[in-house]
Amino acid sequence: MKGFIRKYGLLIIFGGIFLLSTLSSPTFLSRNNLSNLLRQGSIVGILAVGETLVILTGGIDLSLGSMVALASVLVATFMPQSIFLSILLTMLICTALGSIDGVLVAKGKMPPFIATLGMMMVARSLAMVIAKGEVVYGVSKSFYFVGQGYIKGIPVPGVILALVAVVVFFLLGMSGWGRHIYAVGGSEEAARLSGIGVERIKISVYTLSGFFAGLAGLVYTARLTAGYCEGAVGYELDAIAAAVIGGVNLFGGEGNLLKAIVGAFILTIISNFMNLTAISPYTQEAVKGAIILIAVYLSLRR
Amino acid sequence: MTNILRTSLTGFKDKAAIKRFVIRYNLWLIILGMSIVSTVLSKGVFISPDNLFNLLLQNSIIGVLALGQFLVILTAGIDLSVGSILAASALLCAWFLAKGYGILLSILVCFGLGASLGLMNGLMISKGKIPPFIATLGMMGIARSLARQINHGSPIWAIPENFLIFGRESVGPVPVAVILWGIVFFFTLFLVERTRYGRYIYAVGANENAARISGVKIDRTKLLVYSLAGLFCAIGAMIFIARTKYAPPTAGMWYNLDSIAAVVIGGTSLFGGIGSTTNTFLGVIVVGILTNLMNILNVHIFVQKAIIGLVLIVAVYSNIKIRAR
Repeated sequence: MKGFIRKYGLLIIFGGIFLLSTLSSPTFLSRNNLSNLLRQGSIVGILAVGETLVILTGGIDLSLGSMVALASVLVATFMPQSIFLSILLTMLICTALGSIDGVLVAKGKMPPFIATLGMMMVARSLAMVIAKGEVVYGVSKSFYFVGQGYIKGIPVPGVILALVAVVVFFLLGMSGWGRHIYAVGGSEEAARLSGIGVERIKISVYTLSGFFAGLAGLVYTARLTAGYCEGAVGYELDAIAAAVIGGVNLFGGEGNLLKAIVGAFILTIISNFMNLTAISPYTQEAVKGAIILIAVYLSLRR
Repeated sequence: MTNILRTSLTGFKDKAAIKRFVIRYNLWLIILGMSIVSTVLSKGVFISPDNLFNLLLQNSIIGVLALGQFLVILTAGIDLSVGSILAASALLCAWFLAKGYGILLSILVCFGLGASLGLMNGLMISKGKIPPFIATLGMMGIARSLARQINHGSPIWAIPENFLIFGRESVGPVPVAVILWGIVFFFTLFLVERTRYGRYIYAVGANENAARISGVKIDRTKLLVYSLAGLFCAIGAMIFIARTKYAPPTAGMWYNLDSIAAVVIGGTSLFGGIGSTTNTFLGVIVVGILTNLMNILNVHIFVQKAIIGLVLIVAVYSNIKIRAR
């Protein structure tokens, strides 16, 4: 019984919340709401992929929300010049900032939450300075596709998440790089002694986390059709929560990427449910905070 | 030959002595240097007593929060919820003030809320064994949403005039807010240097296992520091309301970074067990003068925050380097 719950607990929770939402709101199962859910869940999911990689090495990335906002402002600001260039530049900058986090943690030996807290502030400040504290309009219509379009009936953000998830999942499971990530998180000392390039692994996960934050920022901007320097506050919490709900060990070395993505959708359905039942956004924030703490608490009890 | 040896040896000795001197008094030297630059740039205005008291007044809120953050970091913890707890306490205090419950009751309620939110942090961390940055990150969201809940997302403006003494009046040349800061400072200094719990705080931060084995009451020590950090947030909230004459739910968005920066720049180790109350005060002054300097130079507020973030990173980095040596 215990083994069964451990194995399928996440799917049971997912099913339960899905059922509860269906029963209590007639609009929940509408095509419109479901694709909305997939779009929002994909943003959290893409962030959760990067966050999971970081947490697997025993680190944490608190800069994701600010990075999404920065990406949003960057892509919207450069858009009038060229769509392609604006995407390229945004992804480059976010990836570079992520790798700075990685260098600070790996080479500078800084505690990850301090390095990424600093980056959280730096990225948010950059976003606000570039946007001058205002909403950046001028996102071109053809870019909306990234956030609002469909490929064979599936919302594009879902397709992006699926691609990202499959690639990273197989890399984690099949490549030496993936095994090394688990090794570093399991025991850094042991990993170093067995000749794993611990610093390189760490830099790589923070860099990827920055890259995925940029990608999530693009989807976010295309959904909202503008750059918001004050947007995406607290997205790092959602990503951490998704990972923890999905059973990723906060101290590293243990966890499954696909389960983390299921965790992201559980969170998204809960907020969707709260929206449909008209719970005030202020209460929602507190409920989310509480869910995260309970999830962490339970995961430590196992 | 011996001569050369002797001179090079004394030269070496002097160098080492200078190095020790610089490391020991680095904060004082930084403050001195920045003060000279500020005095020159402001054509002497900086060094006037009025401006110096004003500098203390402007940093009183951060100063009080940093002392709470200092206690938490000494135990190898971190409090990411100070800004949000300040906002929640401020809103509740203002709500009671606006409803006409009187100053005393409002302050008591404010202190009660701050301390109990801090206590909740302490419970999650000590009894629940949740990592401090996760527990307080959760509290950051919960307390912020509480702050928004109290007046449905809007600021409270109806602050009675007589409450403003805590932010706008002075006793002689010393602003009341600075006196409050002083009280919190000497309380913290006494707690850390003169009491049993002070020694416990250092012991828990230096080596929790060793502390546990030697019979230190670890859970109680942690509950104490997080509760005090929450209480100090409430004192900060009181000064905030009295200085700005309103209580917005967005209050203190940057206080997490500012307070951690002040503590770390003050030389407290993020890994716990090392740090001093006086240096925390000096850390606040360094950040304060730096901010003042950037204001004189007309640096944009967002750029200022980015620079403080960078200074924080540099400070952490050099602390780790010094420790490693």
